[in-house]
Amino acid sequence: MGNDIKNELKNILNEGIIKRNPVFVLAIALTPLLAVSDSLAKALGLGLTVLFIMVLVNLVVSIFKSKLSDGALTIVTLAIMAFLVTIAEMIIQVRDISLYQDLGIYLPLTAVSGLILQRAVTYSNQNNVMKSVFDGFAYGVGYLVALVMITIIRIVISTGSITLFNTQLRLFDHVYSFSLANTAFGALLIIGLILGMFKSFQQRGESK
Amino acid sequence: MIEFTTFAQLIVATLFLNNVLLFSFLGLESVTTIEEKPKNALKLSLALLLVLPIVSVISFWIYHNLLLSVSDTGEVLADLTYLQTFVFVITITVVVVLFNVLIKKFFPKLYAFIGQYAIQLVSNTVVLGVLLINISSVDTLANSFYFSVFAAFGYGLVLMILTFIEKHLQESPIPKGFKGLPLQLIILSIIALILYGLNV
Repeated sequence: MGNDIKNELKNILNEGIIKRNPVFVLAIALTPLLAVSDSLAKALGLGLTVLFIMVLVNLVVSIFKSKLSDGALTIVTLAIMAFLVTIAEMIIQVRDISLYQDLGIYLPLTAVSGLILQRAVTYSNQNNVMKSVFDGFAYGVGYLVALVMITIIRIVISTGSITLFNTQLRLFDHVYSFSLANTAFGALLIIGLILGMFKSFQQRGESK
Repeated sequence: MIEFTTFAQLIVATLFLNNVLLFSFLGLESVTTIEEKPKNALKLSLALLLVLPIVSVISFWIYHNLLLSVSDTGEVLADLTYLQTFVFVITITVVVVLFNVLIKKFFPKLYAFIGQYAIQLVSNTVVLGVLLINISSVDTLANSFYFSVFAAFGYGLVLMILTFIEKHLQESPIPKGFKGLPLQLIILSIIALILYGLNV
C-alpha cells in the first residue's frame, strides 16, 4: 500500500516536471516567462512565487472541492488566487522592495495565470489533498526549472557571460554577443525557437 | 512608462510603441485559442474592445476613490492600494460575467458572435495587465478610457496581422515542430522588431 502511494507521487512529479512540463510541452503561462527571463533574480523570484501560490491554491481547492459547484469553480479559484497573490505581493514588498519594483505588473499578473487556474480546475477539483499538493509542487518546479533555463540561455546569448553565485563565467567574447536578445524582440524570437526545437525533438522521439 | 503629452502621441504610443501584445506580452495565451482563424481573432478583439474600457474606467474610479483617498492639499488620508490585485480581479470577474448576462438577454445576435470569447476574458492577462498599467501611468479618468480603447485596438490589430500572415504561410514548408505557437512567437518577434525600429 505504501509503495503504491510512493509510485503515484513519483509519477506526479515526473509528469509535472518532465513529461508535461508547463513551458516546453504545454506552452502555457508564457506572458511572465517572456517578460522576466532577462535577469536571474527576477526569474527566481517569480518562479518561486508561482510555485508557492500553486501549492496553496491546489491545497485550498482540493479541501473545498465538495462545496464548489462546477459553475462557480473558476470564479472562486480566481478569487483565491487573487487573495494569495495579494499576500505574496505584500511579503515581497516588505522583504525585497527592489525585486518588487523590477517585477512590476508581472507579479500581480500571477493572479490570472493560466497554469495555476488550469491545474486547480482540472486536477485539484477531482483529487485528494495530498495528490493535489504534490501536483501543484511538481508543475511549479517544472515551471521554475524552465524559467531559469530560458533565462540563462537568454543572458548568455545577450552578453556572452553569466554570473552565478558571484562568479562570472565567460562563455564567449562580448563582441560575438547578440545584445538584441535583451529586448522584447529577442525574448519572442529566442523562446519561439526554443519551443519549436523542443517540439521537433519530441515528435522525432514519438515517431521512432 | 508612457508619456501622455498629446492625444496623437497617446494613440501612436499605445498602438505601436507600447503595444500590449508585442512589448508587454499580455494576452499571449489567447493566441492559441483563436486557432489561426482571422474571424476568431476579430471575435476576440471585439469582445475585448467592448469589455476593456468599461472595466478600465470602473477600476480607475475604484482605485482613486475607494482605495486611495487624498485630501485637497495632497495629503494621503487612507491608502489601501496594497489590495489592488484582489479588488481588480473581483472587478474584472463581476463586469465580465454581468456583460455576458446582459448581452445574452438584450443582444442575442452579438452574444452568438462573441459570447464564447467574452467569457474567456475573466482569466485573460491583457485585461488585468491594462488595468495595472493604467493606474501606474495614466492621470485622468478620460485618459484611462482612451488608453484602454487603443490598447484593445492595438492588441486586436496585431492579432489580425498574425492570423493573416499565418494563413499565407500554410502552404510553406515549415518544420512540423514549429507549427503553431513557436511559429506565432517568431512572427510576433519580427513584427516587434519592425516597430522597435520606430522607437529608436
